[in-house]
Amino acid sequence: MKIALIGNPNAGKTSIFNALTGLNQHVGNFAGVTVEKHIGTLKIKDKTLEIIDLPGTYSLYPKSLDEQVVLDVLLDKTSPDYPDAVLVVADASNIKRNLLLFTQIQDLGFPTLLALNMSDIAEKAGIKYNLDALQADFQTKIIFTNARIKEGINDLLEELSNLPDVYVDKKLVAVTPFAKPDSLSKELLDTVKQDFSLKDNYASGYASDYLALMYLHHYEKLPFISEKNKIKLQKLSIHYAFSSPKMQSAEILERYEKIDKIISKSTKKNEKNKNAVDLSLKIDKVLLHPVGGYLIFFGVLFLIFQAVFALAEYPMNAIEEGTSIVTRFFKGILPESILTDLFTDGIIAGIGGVVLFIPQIAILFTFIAILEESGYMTRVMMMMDKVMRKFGLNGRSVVPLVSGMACAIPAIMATRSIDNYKERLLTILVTPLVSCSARIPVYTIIIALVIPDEKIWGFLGLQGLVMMGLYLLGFIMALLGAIVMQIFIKTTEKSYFIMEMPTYKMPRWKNVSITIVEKVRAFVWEAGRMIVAISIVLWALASFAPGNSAEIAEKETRLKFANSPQKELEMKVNSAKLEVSYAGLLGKFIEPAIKPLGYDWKIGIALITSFAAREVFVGTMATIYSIGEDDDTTKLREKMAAQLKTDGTPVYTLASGVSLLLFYAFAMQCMSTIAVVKRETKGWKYPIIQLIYLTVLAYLMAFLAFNLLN
Amino acid sequence: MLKSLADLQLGEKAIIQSFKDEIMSLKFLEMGCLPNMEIELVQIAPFGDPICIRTPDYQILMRKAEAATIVVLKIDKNAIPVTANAIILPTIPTVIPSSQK
Repeated sequence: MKIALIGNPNAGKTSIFNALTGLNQHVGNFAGVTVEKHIGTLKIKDKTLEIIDLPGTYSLYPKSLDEQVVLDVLLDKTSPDYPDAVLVVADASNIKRNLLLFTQIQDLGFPTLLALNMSDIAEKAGIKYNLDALQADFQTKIIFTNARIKEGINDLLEELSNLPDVYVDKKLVAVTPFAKPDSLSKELLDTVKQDFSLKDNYASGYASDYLALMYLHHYEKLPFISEKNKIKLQKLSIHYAFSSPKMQSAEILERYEKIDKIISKSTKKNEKNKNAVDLSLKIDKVLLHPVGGYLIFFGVLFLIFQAVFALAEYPMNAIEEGTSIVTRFFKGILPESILTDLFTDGIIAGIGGVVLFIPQIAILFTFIAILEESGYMTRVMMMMDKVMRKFGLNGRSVVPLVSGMACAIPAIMATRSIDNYKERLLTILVTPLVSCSARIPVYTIIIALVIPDEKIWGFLGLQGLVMMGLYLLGFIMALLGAIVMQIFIKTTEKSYFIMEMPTYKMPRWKNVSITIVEKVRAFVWEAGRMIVAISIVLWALASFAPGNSAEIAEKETRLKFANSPQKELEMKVNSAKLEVSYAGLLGKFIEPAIKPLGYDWKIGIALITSFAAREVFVGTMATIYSIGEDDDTTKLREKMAAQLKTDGTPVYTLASGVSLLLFYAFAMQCMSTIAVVKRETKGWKYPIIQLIYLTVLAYLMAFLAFNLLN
Repeated sequence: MLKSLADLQLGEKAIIQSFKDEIMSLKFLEMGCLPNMEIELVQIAPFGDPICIRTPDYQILMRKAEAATIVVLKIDKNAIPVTANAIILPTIPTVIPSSQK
């Protein structure tokens, strides 16, 4: 049995979902769109319930992609997600607006349960409900919940388990339609009902009226209606002079009028009670202060980064150490063969590279989840909207840009909350410029190589400052990029910025922890598979050479350095073999193009492999400089520092190091991002434009930096 | 005195009269900004835009340009306070055609 979970944004829908299903949930996509679908399964009284968490919406008149999904699922009976019943979650302290959506869903004919959530806040605000009267008037079962302390969750489970598989219980289904504007032609509705054979869902006699009305409002955007039928509906609406906006406002007003009557009859409000808005306004005096507000915001960002670096260091070191131990262990017990090499240097090295990022992603998303849960993120959007608009973006772009510091993939997916197409597209195009966590290992190793470990004014680490500078640069370039690109993207669509300002709330830790688990899981599966696959390809490229060139190179080297000590000889042999391998040949092939940037063919190999994913850089360097040896970044750094060019000068100087840093800061080196952009923009056009402009930008900046510093 | 919501000063209260932009009005309506509702301008972002208004039940954030499409009647501070709850009179037209149309 499928139950859809629906509610306004900020009504606590996710908390209810988490309280009901716990970690027993998984994430997928709705058919045809990339809107995330959260599904949880429950077993109560030998019944299996599948709970689908739909995106938050204010009504069945969608204004964004996220909201459109709700409509698609509820109207399309052939949809795999079409629910058998709907659980509406409403904010008990703001019941009128929340009930608008409830009555619409009920009018579609779904058996509905109503959870009045955040009952504690309503109580504090002095609102008292007459439950029996409400249940009778809205013809539904109502359960008060407080997801924070799990209050009412058991009652909710009980009610859900009581839902019959086939609906005949009229008590739960309204018998009179809640709203039906007078000006709406009955003949028109009947024609639509007949043409599309819209049958009533349940025993009630009206359900398909509202469904027919929904067809008339939304046919253009409904994916399950054929082109032929769209034309049919268009003709009908012209013939009957059906005006969607007029009908919509008439309907909404009628609903509010009825809701208002019922609510004022069955609730009591003690005006003297302090409500949450008063407290929020007091906090905002500080957090939205013209000067203090921004200082606090940047302070928060600074704190997050300090924490991400400082806290992640220990688990990351442990993971590196662990990978090294595991590699040595398997090398010790397995016979020396090509398969062992593949296993240790390809697969284990790849998995180690994925696991390495988990601490940083987990820590960053802890903070982002807390900022969102507490309501502070909306304040950030408010503070930044005017600034962002100057760059053709939207206050809502802040969330993708900030999340982009963790990973561009969830960040680009987060742009769906921007309803304006142009602003959304611009945000998608510039988000990869923000330095993501995959760049951290690249930055770390190069900074350690070329930037001296000094302190400025006695306490500020120079290396840390360069790192922060790179992040700042990413942001600035993202904003500048948006300015340039907005010239080329034309739109007549209006940009909206109307949203609810939530009151401040203590973060719900369960939601925070579930977000973390989910993001880490997504990273490991989505990006991780790619990284492991590339790690294996890389190993193959570096291990094999065309024809017998490897043997020849080995022989020559052994002859040439016959007098060298054994260990040094082996290294020389490995290096010579790499030079003639497929990877070496590729690196040499592009060497002329990257020489002006200060790179040699070995860096060339890393650049090529990094086009799949940046974080592969460190792994590639490890492979190039120490084939067969264990992964250890300190050792790697020493080896890189010792690299000399043919003329005897070091490969990694300040000039080539900065050039490399800038290249990695700007280049689009992430196949997963390209894939996500393609999905989100529905075509290859924008990912290709993005790939070209970022590559050109990266090349130019690296070129300039190298030649100015050299 | 009739004016637009964007013309209110911080802390001023007013009553929503009508909407100038039909499409925008739908968004306001579904979010619970209804005719005859008392609202108060409670926040202005540091650079003067967007603004945040308070309705009887919650706060709503919007840009000034969007606020300019809401026609309001300013409440005189010295007048007798009106009840905080909105009473909807459906006879009042919700959308008056804007001058451009």
